[in-house]
Amino acid sequence: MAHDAAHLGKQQVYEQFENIDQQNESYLVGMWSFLVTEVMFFGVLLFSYVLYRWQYQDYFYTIHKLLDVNMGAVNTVILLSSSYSMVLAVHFAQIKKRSAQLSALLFTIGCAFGFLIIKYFEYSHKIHAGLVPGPKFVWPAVDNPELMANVPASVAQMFFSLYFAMTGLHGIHVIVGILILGTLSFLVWRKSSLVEDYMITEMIGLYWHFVDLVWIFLFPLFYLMPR
Amino acid sequence: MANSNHSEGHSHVVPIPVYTKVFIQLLVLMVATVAVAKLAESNKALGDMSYLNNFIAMGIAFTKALLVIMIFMGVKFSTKLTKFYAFLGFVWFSLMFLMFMDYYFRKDEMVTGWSEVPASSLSRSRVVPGS
Repeated sequence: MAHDAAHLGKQQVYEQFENIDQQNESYLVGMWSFLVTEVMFFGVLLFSYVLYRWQYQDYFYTIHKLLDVNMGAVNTVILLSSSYSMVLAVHFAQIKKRSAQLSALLFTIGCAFGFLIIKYFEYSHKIHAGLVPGPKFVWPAVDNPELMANVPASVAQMFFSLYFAMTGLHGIHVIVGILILGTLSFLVWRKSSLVEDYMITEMIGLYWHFVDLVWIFLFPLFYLMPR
Repeated sequence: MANSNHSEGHSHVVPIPVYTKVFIQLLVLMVATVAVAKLAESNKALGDMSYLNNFIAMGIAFTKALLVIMIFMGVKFSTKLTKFYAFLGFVWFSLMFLMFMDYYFRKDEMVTGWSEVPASSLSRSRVVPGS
């Protein structure tokens, strides 16, 4: 695989760094350290999921049929597309093509909104069906009461607690991503000197890819659960 | 405060076709994981083997994650220190996972507490008044 050793334009070297390579590496290490904390953050939820799925394998399998695989698959395609447009934004930031960078960023934001809109339809259906854990939880679920009749309500509440906690936390990350990407797009549009250094786009890109990564695991864990 | 020193970066600009190829691979893997799940669901002959679907689904998820981390997140083209930090997240997560799994697998084991030590073994250390 050939990669050009590129001329990335002038980057300002701040006085605490010896050279641009050290500065860029510091940025990356700092961002990855943050992402490590995010891995732990989602890790505990993932761990809770593993434990309860282990304990209630058959019940979890039955309950997961209430989730819409097609909606989950479409959301996966949307997030993968947004990751692709994000790397393009970083690429164009590196070679200083501002208008192409802005287009790629706006496409990424559009994908993020698309993801949230589909999530909104999924959530609203679950909320109307009374599947939000709590005192108003309706069980057996109205969508498939015969099949769900054998599943204890307590296990169903646990499933949906994990579902809403994990996809909800992921959704919050998507919203934060939209805010950050929106700010970056605005600064690129205004040709601000703050975003002349492509590393800012690269850092935001890392965050966005992490959001994609989390969904890559959430999708099979919740939507494609085997018997 | 920044000094006025400017410098050329030495990072690599990855050509767009490389990203496009990875994106297509990700989409193919996504379609494959859904297809396998639906096949296992609809085909009763596979019913007993459907646990394989678990390995396939998670295997594909890990492959997708690896592609995103190595190419999209640029770990493949970064310095050893950055690679180390990227790897660290999975080390911490694995440690946490192993320790908690160890606890949950052995949480029902009977622990011999101080009160359950046979009285005979206590007699040597215990001073009984009046003896």
